[in-house]
Amino acid sequence: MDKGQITAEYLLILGFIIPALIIGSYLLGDTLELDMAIAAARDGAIQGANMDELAIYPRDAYYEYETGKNVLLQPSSIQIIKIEAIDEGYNETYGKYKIRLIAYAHLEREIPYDYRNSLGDRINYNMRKNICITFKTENITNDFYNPAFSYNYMFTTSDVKWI
Amino acid sequence: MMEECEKGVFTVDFLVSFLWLFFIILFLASMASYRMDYANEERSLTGLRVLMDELAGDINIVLAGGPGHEMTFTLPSNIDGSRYQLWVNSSGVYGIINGRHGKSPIYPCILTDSHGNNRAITLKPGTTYKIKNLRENNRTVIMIEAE
Repeated sequence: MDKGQITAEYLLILGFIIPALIIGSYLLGDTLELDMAIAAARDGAIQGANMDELAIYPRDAYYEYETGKNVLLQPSSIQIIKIEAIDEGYNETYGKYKIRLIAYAHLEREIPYDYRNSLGDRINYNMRKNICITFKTENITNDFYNPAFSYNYMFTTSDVKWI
Repeated sequence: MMEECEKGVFTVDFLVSFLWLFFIILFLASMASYRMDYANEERSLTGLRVLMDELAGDINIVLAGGPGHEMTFTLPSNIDGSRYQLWVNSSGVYGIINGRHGKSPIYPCILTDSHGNNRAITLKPGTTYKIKNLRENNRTVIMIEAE
């Protein structure tokens, strides 16, 4: 009789916690998903900025910069200021809510507009990539992770705003 | 009979709690592993950037120091466990690590290997090199040779 017993208090506590977690996650699910996606985007933006700061690039980007944008082979100091999420409503094609993300960043040095775009593209790419990795949706998007998907949302990115 | 039952007994409370804890740790570990991979990759990229900038800085110092100036530079055998490649030519120090390429520019100069050949010099990890400023045929030459 003494073997394999469980106390009633323990059962009551578990019986309370588990339904509370299920109800809580159901109620908070949508907000949580969007918050997680924006946090992942912010994280990705910082990763992209770090790549720009180190100026050590994948082969194709490196050779593109070496032939035309030599300035980008030197480290750039970039600070991510904020990530703005704009709700663009329900998208019938994908059956998800569309969110447009805009990164605001600060660059220490003055470089031409299209050079900044190259740095910004890396920030945007990493934002979208990180969202897909967070929600494990890499297989339903393209090589550029554009658009990026979570369970109920799809994300696109606009040009980085340099301030 | 009673004594046998009391030996090595786990309560169900403990087993259930342990199971919960195990799942939570597993979940956290799976989340953390991606971050750790990223942190490791960034550390090796930073290592290469620092190494290239240091070497480029030393070449510039030797160049600015005039004929007779000499410095030694030791390359690590790996960067945070990652293999890397490094080479120098008359315009900069170039490196590759984990499939990523980088460059640190130097002041344009005539760069030669230990045989006096003016060409790109591949540097071997784990080797110490001497960077020398020499005067040859009325021109300044930077020679890089293994010690």
